[in-house]
Amino acid sequence: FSSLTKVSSARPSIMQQRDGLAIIFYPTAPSRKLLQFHTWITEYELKYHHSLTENISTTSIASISPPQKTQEERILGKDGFSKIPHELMMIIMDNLEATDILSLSMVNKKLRAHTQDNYLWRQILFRNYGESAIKDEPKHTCRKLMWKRTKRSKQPQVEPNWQKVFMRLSTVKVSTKTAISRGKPGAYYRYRYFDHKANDFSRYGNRIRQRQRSYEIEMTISNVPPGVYDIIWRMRIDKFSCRPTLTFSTDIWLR
Amino acid sequence: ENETITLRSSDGIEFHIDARIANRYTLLNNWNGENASLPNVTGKVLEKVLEWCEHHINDPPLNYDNDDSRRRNFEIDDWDENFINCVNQDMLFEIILAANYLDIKPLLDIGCKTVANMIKSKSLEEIRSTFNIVNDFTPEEEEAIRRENEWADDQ
Repeated sequence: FSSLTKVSSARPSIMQQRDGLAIIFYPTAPSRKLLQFHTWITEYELKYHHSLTENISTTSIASISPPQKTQEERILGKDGFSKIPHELMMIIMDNLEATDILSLSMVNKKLRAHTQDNYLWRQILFRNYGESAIKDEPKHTCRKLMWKRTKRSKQPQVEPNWQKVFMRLSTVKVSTKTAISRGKPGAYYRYRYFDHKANDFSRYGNRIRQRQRSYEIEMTISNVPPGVYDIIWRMRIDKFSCRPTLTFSTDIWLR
Repeated sequence: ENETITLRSSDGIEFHIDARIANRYTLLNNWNGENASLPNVTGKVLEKVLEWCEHHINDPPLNYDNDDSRRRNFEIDDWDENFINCVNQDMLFEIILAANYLDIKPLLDIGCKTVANMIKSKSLEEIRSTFNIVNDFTPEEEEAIRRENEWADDQ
């Protein structure tokens, strides 16, 4: 097996493989901190999850050239969005996914103000998780008004922050129980917890990843958004000087 | 019955349009008389909007019942895509504003969808360069927002 050069781009390079199940040799040691490492896509994934390859080809709409602005106009912040009123922004944002809206909220102050609409996030929550998510969310009582509360009067209620609710729901929790060999009889278990933000779904198409260096894994995945998933396990063997290291990776694909 | 209506744009250019267009989009239903001036729309933009209207003059009538589902499910057809690709970005925003002002819902939807497609699955920097937007956050503010919606950090 020849070693491969590390792919520097964010997207993994696509190489054809004969089989869906394959042992993959990673070119370099992936960083431990990020659950992000370079590999290529198996044929199975290519077949069922075209999104990775399709997303790369952007639509022809992107070819509209940005207007050339003078320095003065740039300082004044006169971009196209500055004229658009909020109700039109709502229509535009209605067509976007939550991840797009989140990156929009970091572009500049004006756009951020548009994305802070609680109603917008309520719509997003409704679209992704259905009506039940909104109904189940307990209505908070407003602490500032608590002192006014008497038995007879209705408790003052405030709308929850739907953005926070959405972010909490779209965080997939993965907990693993790992057996570790220490050269002694008996097994040691290590418990680890990972939060996979919904962002990870967008970064890798619709997939979350999990890497584990051990030989026995018990994995619990909770808080998963509704949908059909494919789970693909990969095993990697690093042959170092003394003994091989096994690394399992789990890919969870949203179909 | 080839009635025409005269529209005057903000910079004084006059357009003679088929009365059917006006009736179709209710844009002039509230104006009585045959001449109307539009103080918010310039001639260039109005020309584009009317070009679109004339092409769609024979479309089936619209139903405004289920506003939300219609908005999400429609597809931009070839002619519209070509039409919207031919304009530059400033004009695109102008068309959206004019369509909103004149209450031409399908055109408004097409415009908004196009803008949304330009934003879709782009990184922060790509959005900024596409729309020529200046980052007006201070580094501290940017850090605070990044922490607040922690999973928006890509870089």
